[in-house]
Amino acid sequence: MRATISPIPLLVACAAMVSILASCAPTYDNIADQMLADTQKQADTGLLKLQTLATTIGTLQNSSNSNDQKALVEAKKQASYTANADFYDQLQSSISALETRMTALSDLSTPKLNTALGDLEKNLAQVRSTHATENLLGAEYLKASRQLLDQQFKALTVYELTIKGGSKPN
Amino acid sequence: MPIDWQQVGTDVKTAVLQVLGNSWQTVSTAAGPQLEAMVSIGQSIEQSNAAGTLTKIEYQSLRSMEKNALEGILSSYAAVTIVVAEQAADAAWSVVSQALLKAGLAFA
Repeated sequence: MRATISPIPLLVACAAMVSILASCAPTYDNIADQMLADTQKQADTGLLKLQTLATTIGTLQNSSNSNDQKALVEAKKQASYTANADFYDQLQSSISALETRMTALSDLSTPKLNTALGDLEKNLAQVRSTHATENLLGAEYLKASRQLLDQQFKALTVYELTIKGGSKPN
Repeated sequence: MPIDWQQVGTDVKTAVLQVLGNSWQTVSTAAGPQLEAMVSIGQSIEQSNAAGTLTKIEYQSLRSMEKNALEGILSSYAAVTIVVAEQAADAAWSVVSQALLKAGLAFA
């Protein structure tokens, strides 16, 4: 007579393994999601303003008109690093707050998220450092910087939306 | 020699596939177009540099940013695949716990 093996111990062992992973699933945080959208907007608005100023400077530089020369001086002043140091400070602060919020409740994906947020910080620091060195940034540089940062924000948004899609009611 | 950007795009995807393996299927819909966008941005940066519209410092900065951005994007998608696995385990757990309840066993 063949012995009948109860499926229950196997089921319990399986349940224990699955529950370990399942208990780690992050819950959607609408504040983190909103902070991510706000930080992207903050970065994009600031860099777009600088890009517009850089284009204006490029146009005015070819003019000998006295009014254009005055406008050029003003545009250069607005586009200088000193005039925008606050923008970088505020953006850095927003990124730090975002990082804290997005990684507050740790799960298995947090180390990867830390890397992604760290790379975002590195790139913002890169733009800041280039601005501080050059004092005035070119339109093409600013356009490419915005595009790269937008792609990074987009990938982080996919992460948030993935959590939202499978969020446990809590 | 001019850069074959189409080939670069294919090579980038192959390199990512080798790292992500089966996880690629989970994120390919969103990550695929982003990788294409990254290659396109890279192409645009090289064109701007060749046209002399970037300073040497700006060009070096963008090259560094490209690398950071790619790492950041791939890390975000790696995090997405982990979350998807966690959510799948969550769904499986619901089924298992229901089975345990039916068997008269409570498993917290």
